[in-house]
Amino acid sequence: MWRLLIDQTTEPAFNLAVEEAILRHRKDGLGQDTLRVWRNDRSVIVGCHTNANEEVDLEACRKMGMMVLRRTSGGGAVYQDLGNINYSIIAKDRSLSLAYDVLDVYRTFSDTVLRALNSLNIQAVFCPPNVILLNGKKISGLAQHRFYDTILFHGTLLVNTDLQSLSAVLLRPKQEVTNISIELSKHPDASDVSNALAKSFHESFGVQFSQGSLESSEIALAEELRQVKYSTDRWNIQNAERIEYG
Amino acid sequence: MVMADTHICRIVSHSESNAKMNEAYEEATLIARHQEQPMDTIRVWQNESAVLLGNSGEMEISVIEDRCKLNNVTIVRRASSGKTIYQDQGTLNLTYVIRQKNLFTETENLTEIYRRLCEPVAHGISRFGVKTEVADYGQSISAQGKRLCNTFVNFYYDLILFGLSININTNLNVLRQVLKQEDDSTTISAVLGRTVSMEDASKTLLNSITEHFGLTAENQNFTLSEEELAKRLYQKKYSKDEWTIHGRSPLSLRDVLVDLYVAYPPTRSCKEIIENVKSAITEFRDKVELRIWMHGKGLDGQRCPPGVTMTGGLIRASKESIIPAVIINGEIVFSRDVPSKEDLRSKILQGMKG
Repeated sequence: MWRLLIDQTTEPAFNLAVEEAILRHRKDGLGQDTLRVWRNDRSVIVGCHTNANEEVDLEACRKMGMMVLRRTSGGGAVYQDLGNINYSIIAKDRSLSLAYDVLDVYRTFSDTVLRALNSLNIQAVFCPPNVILLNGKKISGLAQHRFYDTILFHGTLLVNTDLQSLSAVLLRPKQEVTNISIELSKHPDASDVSNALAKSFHESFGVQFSQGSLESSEIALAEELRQVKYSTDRWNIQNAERIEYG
Repeated sequence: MVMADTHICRIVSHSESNAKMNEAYEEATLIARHQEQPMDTIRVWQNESAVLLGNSGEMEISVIEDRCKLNNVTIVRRASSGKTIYQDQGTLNLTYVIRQKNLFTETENLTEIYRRLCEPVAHGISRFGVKTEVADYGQSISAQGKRLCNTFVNFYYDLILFGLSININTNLNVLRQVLKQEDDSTTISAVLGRTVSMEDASKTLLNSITEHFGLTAENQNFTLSEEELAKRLYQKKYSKDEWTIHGRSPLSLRDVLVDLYVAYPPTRSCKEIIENVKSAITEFRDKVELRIWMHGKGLDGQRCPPGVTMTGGLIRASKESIIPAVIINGEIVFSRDVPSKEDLRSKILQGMKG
């Protein structure tokens, strides 16, 4: 049985810490495979290998009082607010019989996400390696992180994000982005998305979900990770301070 | 320029003439300054006949090697960037290895820095009666429209290595024969119509530099650890075709390179792997280099520190987030699990055998 976790917390540093805490927990054979749906307050989240300076206008973020954080998966910088829904899968590789090939994993998961969107009458398409498009514009970016025998796969879904803020803080978005609300005049909420994803995952992988909450040990680990990692400049903007050399 | 405080630096003037060994000294000086050497260094030396390529320059060996062979000229790839140049015992090399903030402010851009490092040398040359000009955005010194001096540069952490190759009595005939490109070089002696001794040139230029920057200079030799590092760099890098021809640095100055790729912060299992590897390499201490990389944090808190080469296996582990991974000599040998000390030892031994 998988856990369906609809998180109400919107604090970005804690949310990123929760994601890693679940992953570490699961790697140790604790807890359950999890589908998590969550949202962040206004923030910019950069990929773990990204130089924040190159992708984010740090000065604009400072002026707008926006936090810049680093996630544990790779990929480009994303702007987030409550108009964006995040979805994450954290599971043992064996639970999903996953290949180790990065592109295969994107293909497998994107099929499942697309089916979920379809069930919400959102006719999106996958654009390899890790983007989902609606009417030719990006509504979702995907990323993955392998950790021992456990995978974290997550994506964003732009439902009703403040695109003006997005373009103010991201320096060079690779693709034009849009909101589902602009393209389809509809606002699926976190509950719609989580139900659709759970149904689609059931169809793809035969897994069953029951709604659950974080375990106390996961919360304790998340608090620790927030403190030592996700709330520190040393982790979040490290590369912006990197010394350039020839 | 007037300095607020007198700055002490050392002058290392030595007689090594093997051009490849001298490049090993260049890199060793830079690394030592970062790690342990407390003083900035001004280094003076002369090379045997050699063509020196920039560290990342396109190789022109196929074009020049026959001409170099004919003229008994060694081909060397430098530790620094810059154009391909010819040198011989008539060429004076002078390198600054300095902590940038010791001589320059944060607002000075590289062109200004290059120019200011060239200026005292240009003034020194003018003391022989040659009218000089700092040209090419501070990257050369010319006289009568011809090039008297080339420069080369390297950066390492907060250090700058800035070298000047000054034609005092360089053999221009050989220079023109061996270099592929049209050359507009000249020498101080050619401009003056008389021979300037290398000793006089060295002394005059060093005096000009120390006066210009208000430096208190101490004549010193390389330290023992610098000598040892230079020797290792020569053996593993500068004497090898892999570097000279292909521009590829060795993975490590030791026999085996072990890269560990673990989580940040490390999990209990990651700590276990780190301990297992440390234990497995104890008996091979001087032969194995261990680097511990953390996902998203890199090595020593930097994504890729200066002078460090990321191997293919490490790049793969990083891109595909293969955590944990043990990478020996660039190949992933253990992944996603904790290997035993015995298995690690066995793979390290295999790595030593190549």
